Order: sequence, then C-alpha cells, then structure tokens
Amino acid sequence: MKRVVVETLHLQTEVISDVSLGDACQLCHVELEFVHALIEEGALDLADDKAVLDRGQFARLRKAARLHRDLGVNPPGIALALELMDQL
Amino acid sequence: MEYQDYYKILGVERDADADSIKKAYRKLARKYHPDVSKEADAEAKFKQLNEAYEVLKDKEKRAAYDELGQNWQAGQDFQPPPGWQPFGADPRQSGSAFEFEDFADLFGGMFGGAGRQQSARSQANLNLHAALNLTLEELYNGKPVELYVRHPNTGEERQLRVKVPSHLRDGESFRLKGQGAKQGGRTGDLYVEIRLVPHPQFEVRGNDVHMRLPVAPWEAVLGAKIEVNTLGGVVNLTVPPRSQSGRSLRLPKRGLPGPQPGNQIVTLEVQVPTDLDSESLAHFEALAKSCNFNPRSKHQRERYEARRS
Repeated sequence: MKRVVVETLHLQTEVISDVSLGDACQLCHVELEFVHALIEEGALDLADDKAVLDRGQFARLRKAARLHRDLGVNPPGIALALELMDQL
Repeated sequence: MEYQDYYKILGVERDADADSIKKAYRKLARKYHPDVSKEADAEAKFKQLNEAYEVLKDKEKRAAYDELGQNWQAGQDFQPPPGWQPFGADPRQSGSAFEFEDFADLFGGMFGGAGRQQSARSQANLNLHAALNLTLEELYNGKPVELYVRHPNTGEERQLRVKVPSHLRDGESFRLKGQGAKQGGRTGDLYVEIRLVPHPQFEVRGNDVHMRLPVAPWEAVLGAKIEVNTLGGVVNLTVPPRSQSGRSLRLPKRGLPGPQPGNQIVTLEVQVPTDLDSESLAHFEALAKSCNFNPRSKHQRERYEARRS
C-alpha cells in the first residue's frame, strides 16, 4: 500500500505504570479471573499489594495474555513458562 | 495478492483432518511464538502460521481456499475470488477475548513491510496497540525514533516522532495520548509496547547489561587492562591477575540508566589460541613441564570422598 504521511508529530510519551486491574484487563483483553489466577500462581505481583500493576508486571500480563491466547496455555502453565523464561 | 500455500506452511497434507491441523499449528506456534522463540524471523513465521491456521481451521474458509485450486505456487500473484477474505482483513469478527487479531494488532509493527513501524486496528474503546522494535543503543541514547501509524478508519498515515524513555525495558509500554482511533468527537490513545532487538554483544537483565569478554590465557594469569565496549562508549577494564574463566567483573553504572542505574557485568571467557607457531608452542610445552598445576585435583578428591561415603 502506498504510504501517504499526512503529518509528522513530535509527541510526549507517557510511561504505562501502576495500571489498575480493570484497565489492565481491558488493555490485554482478558478477564479479571485470569489475572487473579496468575496472581495466585505467583506469576504476577501487585505493586505494594495495591490493586495495580507496575510497568514490569503489566508487561508480564501482556505476555501471559498472549501465551494464553496464542498457545492455549493455562495459568499454571504460564507461571511455569514465565519462570523458565526468567531463568534463561 | 500473493498466493500462500497454507498446507505447506503448517506442514500438513491437503486432506489433513481438523485435529492434525490444530496439532501441527500448536507445535509450530510454540516454536515461533515471538514471546518464546529465539529464531530471528519468528515474528514473520508466526504471522504466516496464524494466517494459514485462521483459514484452515475454519470449514468454510478452508473450502473457499481449496477452491482456489492446487495449481498455484507459493508467491505467485493471484486474483482472489469475490468475497474472499484473507486473514487480517476482517477485524474482530468472532469477538472472543483472545483472538489473533489482538496479536496482529500488537505486533502489527513488526510485520509491516517497511521496517520499523506502525499500527493497529480499531478496538471497541478506540485505543490502538502497536509494537516498536528498538535496538539497545536506541533505548540507551534516547534519540527520537519514528513510528508510522495507519489510521484504521481513514487509512491515513501519520508519522510520529517520539523519545522513548530510556528506563523502559523490553515488553514495557508507553502511551501516546490522542493518537488512537477517532470516532464521533472521541479519540483513543495509542499504546506502544517496546521490543528490544537482540544485541550481538550485550544482554539486558534488569538494569544490568551483561557481556562475555574473551581473554587470552596469559591475560587471565598475569592480569591486563582491556578496552571494553559499553553502551556509553569504550572504557578500560582491569582484569586482576589469576582470574578464572567465568569470573564476572563489574563496571559500575555502565548499565541502563534509570532511578537505580544498572552496571555492566563482564564475564571473562579464557580462549585458547588454536593457531600457534612453533615458538609459542615451545613456551607451552615448557610450561607443561615446569608448572605444577592440576586443575582436576578437587574433582579427584570429590570422587574419592564419594567412594568412601
């Protein structure tokens, strides 16, 4: 497809961190139960036990959501996969 | 459009049943999933795989695809029949929480033909998602990078120049306000996930940057000052005398920046010369005679202890 660039914008970025569980579910297209299951498996940690995910944990949830969706891995499997990937 | 042999991509026969297709897909998906795979072209392969599976897992799509005929060769240009919908052209038709479209959204940037880029597709809440491939140097230097975003409604492209905050790590995201889809008077945001491109020398762990440094046997024994690459430029590293292979040395604050700047961890790797002239070889032979060193004495003791217990 032909690329027509209509404008060039110089933008400020806003780091995604301290995402509420509700927002996180919406952004990753997952159900709240899925997030809770990952927390129970120890695959995901809440920031200071508040119901928010810091930027690293949000990145982890995104990865978990993709593993679930694309490979059909369940939360215990995701926990194991993330653990093994951490060790690499 | 280019003809793709979906059966060949999945490695199945043309008369394969649904189960074999699913099995073949899952196996290859695990191999090439961009979150898991170390293969260089994993993203492209995974996308191709999903395109094939999206069609072959669906009875109607598969029948329509089969009707295209078996005479097409992969890569050949062909005219799709009316109503033919290849994967990717029909957003969110199933509406389930986990579907490939989301993945295509997220990794849309990597699949675009034109290098770094771009974009996503309309979502219920007008937010768009994109992935941005970054080299470690780009992240470290914090120079502005360009993103192209294709607007899902109008097809227009915008070029965005953004400075990626250098304390972000692989898989983490930033938001560009108001750069999502527009509908009515409302505008969504653009979420950009950064993906660090593997570096030939450096590996990031947390804020630290790890590297392996080959050293000569005499450098490890006698000690040496060695020029070492860091993200911030070349620095001098002092290798202390009698350093074992595998020893890690720390270059403080030479890792990634952030509230707690990382270090560079240099792991020594003693390498043995394989192309020795006769004079050098004679030195080693002399050393073998004169040096009273048995690197396996501990092993032998352990074997002895094991037998006794």
